[in-house]
Amino acid sequence: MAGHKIKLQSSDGDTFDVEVEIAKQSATIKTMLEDLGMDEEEDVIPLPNVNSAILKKVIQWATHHKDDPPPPEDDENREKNTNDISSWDQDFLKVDQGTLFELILAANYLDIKGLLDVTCKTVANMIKGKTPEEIRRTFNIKNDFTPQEEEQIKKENEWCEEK
Amino acid sequence: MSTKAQVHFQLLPVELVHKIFDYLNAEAIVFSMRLVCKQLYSIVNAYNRYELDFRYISKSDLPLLARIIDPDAIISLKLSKTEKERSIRSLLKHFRTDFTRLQSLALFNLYDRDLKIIQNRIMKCPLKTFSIFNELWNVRKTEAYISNILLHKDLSKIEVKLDYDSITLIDWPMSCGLKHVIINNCSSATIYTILNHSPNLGTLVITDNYFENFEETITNDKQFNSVISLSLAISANIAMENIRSLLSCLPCLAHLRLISKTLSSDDSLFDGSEWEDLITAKVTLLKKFEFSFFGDLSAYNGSVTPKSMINSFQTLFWLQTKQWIVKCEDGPDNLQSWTFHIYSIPIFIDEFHYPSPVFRVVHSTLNTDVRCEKVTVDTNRLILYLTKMMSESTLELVSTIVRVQYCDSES
Repeated sequence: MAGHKIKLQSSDGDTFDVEVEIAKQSATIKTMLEDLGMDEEEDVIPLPNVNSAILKKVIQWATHHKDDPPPPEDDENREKNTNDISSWDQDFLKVDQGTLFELILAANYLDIKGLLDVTCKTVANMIKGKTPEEIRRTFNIKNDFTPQEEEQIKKENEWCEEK
Repeated sequence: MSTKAQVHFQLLPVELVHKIFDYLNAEAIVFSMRLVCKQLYSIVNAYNRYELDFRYISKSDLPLLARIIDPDAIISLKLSKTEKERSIRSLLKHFRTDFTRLQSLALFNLYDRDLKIIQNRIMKCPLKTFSIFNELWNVRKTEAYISNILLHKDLSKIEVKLDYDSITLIDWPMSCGLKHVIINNCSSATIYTILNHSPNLGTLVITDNYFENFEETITNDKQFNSVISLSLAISANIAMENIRSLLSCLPCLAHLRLISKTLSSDDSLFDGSEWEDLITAKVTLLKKFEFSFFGDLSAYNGSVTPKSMINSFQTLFWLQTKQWIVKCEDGPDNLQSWTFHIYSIPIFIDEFHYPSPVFRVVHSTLNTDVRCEKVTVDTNRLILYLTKMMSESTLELVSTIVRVQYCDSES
């Protein structure tokens, strides 16, 4: 039998019926439900910072991970290892960069630690092993250092090498 | 579809860019990200959660890293001396000041003079985790150094791998705030010392050589309700009675792992009814019980057979209440002995050989055709004998899926 449901409303006005236990992976929604006593099926939780397309993806992720153990509270045991992304998450995150960054923003706003971790790891993997110029190309970033500033940075490095 | 302009990397707030940095090493942040554009230059300069692993930083990169990174922005250090010319003093001299925000410190193969230098530079740190791994000979005063570290009031996790003499000499403070202790070469008496001095201890792991020292006297009448997870790599002389005494004072235990790499001398360890009695009487909250024991069938006067062992684990308690499945494999170790390996599944073992080069017959409490069962193993090292697998007639029944999870930190 399906669990008790609530309605989540995206920034563009669409509403999504979601099981409470799935929605509660978001600490933001969990707090709203508990603090404001919003536990009736007709109650609508507005999420003004998340559009429909992204909210749909977030719900898809949370549904797949609904039986995962809760992530550790603190980051003390955080590893720099970024090779441990599950194959399902890897496929899920094969999206354009704009969607990936919007998922990061949504995970942060909704306070979903697991989703925030895996999206940030994915971006870190896009950076690892790249030169500054390769990173600029990857993320379409303009080099806005003036020639003088570039010279200054170069000197900083040379100063250290000579020392 | 969103009608808004796409979010670009540079539109991410600083704290989220820093969160991405948390998964990059210091070199990638300082030598790559910092040089991309002005905005990232500033964001890198504001970053204050650097984790430096000196095992992998090249000698030429170190001065620049030390110049650019403020010691106050470093929260984790891994120090090792793998090259002769690199003394710890020369490594640390590049940093202008002490490390005041250091939360995690790991030391690999350092001499006592190095330990002294480090100790002087971290005295004021809010250290939360500390690890030391020393395989060097004649390192004096390591235990005194560790005893001093234990005085850090924020310390919650310690991992120690030293020789036996050093472990026994560690002076545990009267009441330390440790929640996780991972240690090796530990006698029963040392375990009780740790338990008595750590009122918040939740996880205790003995990674190697938990043994009984019969010269030590153990007096304990306390219960330690904070401990929920215990993992012991036991030596040959550990008997059921020792485990019983230990579990009697850990009533809240939820996870128990007992691993032996050598032939155990006490046949009670292979008896499901003994374990059932112990668990129902002493550790009623136990949810997960993992074990792996080896034995020599000729050593127990014929009282133990693979079938009798498996039968003892085929009760309602094992199969229905707890749903813990047990397997036993046996085979000739050499011409004189016939050894067996009894374990819970999924098996947790340091090194797993498949198919086993020693054990030929497999028994399971499920009474199923074990050749068709999925093999799930939690191991650091997997050795597959492909020739043997190819020659087996059951190959068509077997689909081997090897999922490897990389656990090494990046290098």
